[in-house]
Amino acid sequence: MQTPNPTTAVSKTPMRRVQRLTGYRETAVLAFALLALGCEGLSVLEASRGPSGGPVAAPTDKDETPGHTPPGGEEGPPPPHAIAPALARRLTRTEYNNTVRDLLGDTSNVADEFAVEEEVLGFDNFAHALTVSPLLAEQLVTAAERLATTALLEKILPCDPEALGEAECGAEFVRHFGTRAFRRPLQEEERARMEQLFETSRATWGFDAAVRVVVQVMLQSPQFLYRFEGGPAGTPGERVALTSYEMASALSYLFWGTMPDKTLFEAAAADALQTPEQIATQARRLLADPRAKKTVSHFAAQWLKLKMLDLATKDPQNHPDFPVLRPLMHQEVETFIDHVIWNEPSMLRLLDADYSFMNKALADAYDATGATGDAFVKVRLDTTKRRGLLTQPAFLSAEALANASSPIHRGKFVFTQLLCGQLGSPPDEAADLGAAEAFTTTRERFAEHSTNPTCAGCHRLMDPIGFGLEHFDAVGRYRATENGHPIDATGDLPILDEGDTSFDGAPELATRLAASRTVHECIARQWFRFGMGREEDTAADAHSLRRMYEVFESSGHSAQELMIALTQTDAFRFRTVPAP
Amino acid sequence: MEAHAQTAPVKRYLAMFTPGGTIQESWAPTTTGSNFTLSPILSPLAPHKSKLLILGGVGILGNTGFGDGHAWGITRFLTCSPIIDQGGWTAGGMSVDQYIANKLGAKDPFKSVELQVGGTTSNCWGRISYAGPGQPLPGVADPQKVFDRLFKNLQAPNTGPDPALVAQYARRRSILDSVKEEYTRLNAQIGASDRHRINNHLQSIREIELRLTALPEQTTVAACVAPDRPGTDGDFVAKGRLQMDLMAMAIICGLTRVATIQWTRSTSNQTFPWLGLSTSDGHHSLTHDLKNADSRAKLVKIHTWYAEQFGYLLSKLDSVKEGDRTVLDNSIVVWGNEINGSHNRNNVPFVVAGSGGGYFRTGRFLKFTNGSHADLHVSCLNALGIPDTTFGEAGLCNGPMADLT
Repeated sequence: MQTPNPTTAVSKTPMRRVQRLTGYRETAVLAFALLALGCEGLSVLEASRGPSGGPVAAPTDKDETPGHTPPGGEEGPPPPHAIAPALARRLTRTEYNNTVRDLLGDTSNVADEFAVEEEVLGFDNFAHALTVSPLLAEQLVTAAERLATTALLEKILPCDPEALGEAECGAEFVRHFGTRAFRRPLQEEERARMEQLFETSRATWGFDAAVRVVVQVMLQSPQFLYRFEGGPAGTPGERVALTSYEMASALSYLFWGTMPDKTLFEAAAADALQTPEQIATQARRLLADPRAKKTVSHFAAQWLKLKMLDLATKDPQNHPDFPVLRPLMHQEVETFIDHVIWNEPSMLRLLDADYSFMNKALADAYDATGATGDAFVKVRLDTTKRRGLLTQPAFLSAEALANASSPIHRGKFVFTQLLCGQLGSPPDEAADLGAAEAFTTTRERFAEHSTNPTCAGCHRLMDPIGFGLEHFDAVGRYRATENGHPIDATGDLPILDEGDTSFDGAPELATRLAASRTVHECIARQWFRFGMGREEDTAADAHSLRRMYEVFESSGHSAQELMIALTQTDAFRFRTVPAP
Repeated sequence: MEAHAQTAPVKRYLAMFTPGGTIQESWAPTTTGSNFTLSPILSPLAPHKSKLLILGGVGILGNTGFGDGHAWGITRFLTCSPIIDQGGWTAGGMSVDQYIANKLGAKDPFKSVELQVGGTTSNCWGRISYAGPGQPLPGVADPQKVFDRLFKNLQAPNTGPDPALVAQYARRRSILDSVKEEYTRLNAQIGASDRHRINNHLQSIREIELRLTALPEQTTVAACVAPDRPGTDGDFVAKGRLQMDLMAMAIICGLTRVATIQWTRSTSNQTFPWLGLSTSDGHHSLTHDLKNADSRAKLVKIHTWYAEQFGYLLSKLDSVKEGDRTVLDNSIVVWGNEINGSHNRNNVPFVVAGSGGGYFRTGRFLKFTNGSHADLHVSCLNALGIPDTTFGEAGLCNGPMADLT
């Protein structure tokens, strides 16, 4: 019944390398190379070292990325100016709720009950993963029915049927509502079809019911449920600009998670969303609007995996106050992120800020001063111990075990979320560590990861980062010793071409990350992923990513300028017409 | 309770997933054949011993593709397919429950039903059922939602059709016709990649539209009694029970003949305080501490508890007679896992209950050497009247599993 998926039109070379295991019974040779990021001089992540100490390339089953950048960072040949193909993007639950609110005035958040989105790279809005199962199809049917039944006609009718006549008003309604529901004027054929539907329904059930029928059909139409960004019809392979209507939706969904507002519709109608300046003007307006806050928070929460905190369980014997502190930890990190993104000239303060936000209960638990009541206020940190997000209890607790810290989880987080690194798969024979009691410190317990060649290839990319956070226990409390032994918090960052990558302790780790070009590029890539609803393609998106990176750098790492910069890229403004 | 006698009993397929492998020395029965003693972990299944096939030495083969051992195991559990990158990591093929549902269940009110107990992740570590490559079918975790979907409009015997529903359904039919037209007309305007997803969306609409636009027929099965509508509270244990009640009754009522239930997910750190385990004894953490006898003992408790749940489900199905047999006899219920112990999958615990209408020769413990679980799927297909000789990724399936009949 389902046909196998045809080769997608995206000629994409994947960013990740997969460690290939040739047989599940064979002992895995755990060696792989992390690939260069295109030919743009973007940074190279360290190739792993095989047992003999030399770099080892992994066998791969996909094409190599073009333009492998050799160490030293020279530019390769100029980028091909390919553009990614058009990609239909289904509305997420949040987008559905917001759109229905703006289209119908309905605030019941009916999509909260829908099947959840599949996640890719931590994001819930990747186009390819937003498929529609029979379960979701059914939910969309019943939601549309409910919304159409409860819609207040005076909110959506542009005319008075008694004044204008039912047929005339119906036609005007189809045109007006259709433009808003489909986020562009109806094509002639669409308009005729919807008008026919309206008239047939009106003959059977009357004017009001006919309006509701049109609403119900439109809410289930792919033109409502998906955003098509193909530009005007063209020759396959041709590079086209998004139409002004498509650009209006691209901007409104990017910054507000909803359909275009009146100003955007007017700009679209005037075909005035084509030049970078026109687009930037709207982008700035949308970003400055309070509606942008929720969307940006949603981006940050996914990028920084904030919901991992909810999945953490802690030993009730050793951490009895964790359940009470957890919501406070959430509030700290969310307040902090919000503050930095909207108030700090540089968003790198996320990594190395010398302050955070706490109330008295949280401050007392974490030896901070300056908070006196229930309200969350800015508190200064002891910067010999803590700086930035990676030293907040939320992160430290989320990426830890029930009764111990976890250098692996913490290191992996930094590696994947802040350095945009990709790891191979662990071998089937992943050795079990000995019981915790047998070791003096956590660091010692995980030492085998570096000494055992089967483990080292991947773990040398994670553990040395996480060891730098060993001053913090399972719930982020500072400790000078573990089991009576002084903590060794020296560590290393697995990045090349950035000078000395060693560090001692969390504040220095924070400073190093904030200064790291790899981190800056990764932040740009994360925003790109969220904004475009797909993973970056090293070939097609190299030019766009470089532009974003340049703006990020020259703006002093401004969050707002980075977010606007996406809208100025080729990737955002153009598509390749796909194969039919 | 008795169901009305049917000429040819309907055969059903159910699958249950629990994660984290098992503790082999406490799982495997002592002797093979029909004279085996149930192991400590499987002892809750004693009442059903004669209807079981316990399969040792069966592996979930294949480890290419993206992800890790857990992702491979849970993805391949029902699909026998590698993980592919399709704009995101996902299964490269359809799962066997959907394959069966397409062949047998297209006319049932629900082609299949997917249920979830506890939390999961929306990625290839947390899905077992797929309609096709890149099309996961997440289970519904809330028993009240399951009830509303399955049983809300169940026609009670001897009641006439609700006129309001009749009108609503008539309108829906006409609306859905227009909606479908929207999708078919779109195809000419979009590229191949988008068209595939849009077509799958249209296919999903087609699968549900009959049930949403035609009034349900009155059930003739006496044992079919719509359960009470569940509330929304209740812990993991209570919700698990409710889900199994709903699953069994959906089968008994003939609402579907294919159903899956997924308990948590691979790498779940589910805690089990009702078994006396502490908050730091998360399931996944324990499986990474297998050198510790204490941790192994705790895992035995967890797996024994899951066996109790499996037994509960079997009891529900076994309580309804169909002629000389019961609903359980006429079903195949597969209980599987994603790994053996830590990350490897060369000896994954499988238990099959029910004989598929007398097809399987149950009441035995079979021990295979390097068996492939894909072979089990082939045998199940054959038992259900689907004569395929292979299932899933080429080279990992030998044909029907030996010695099951």
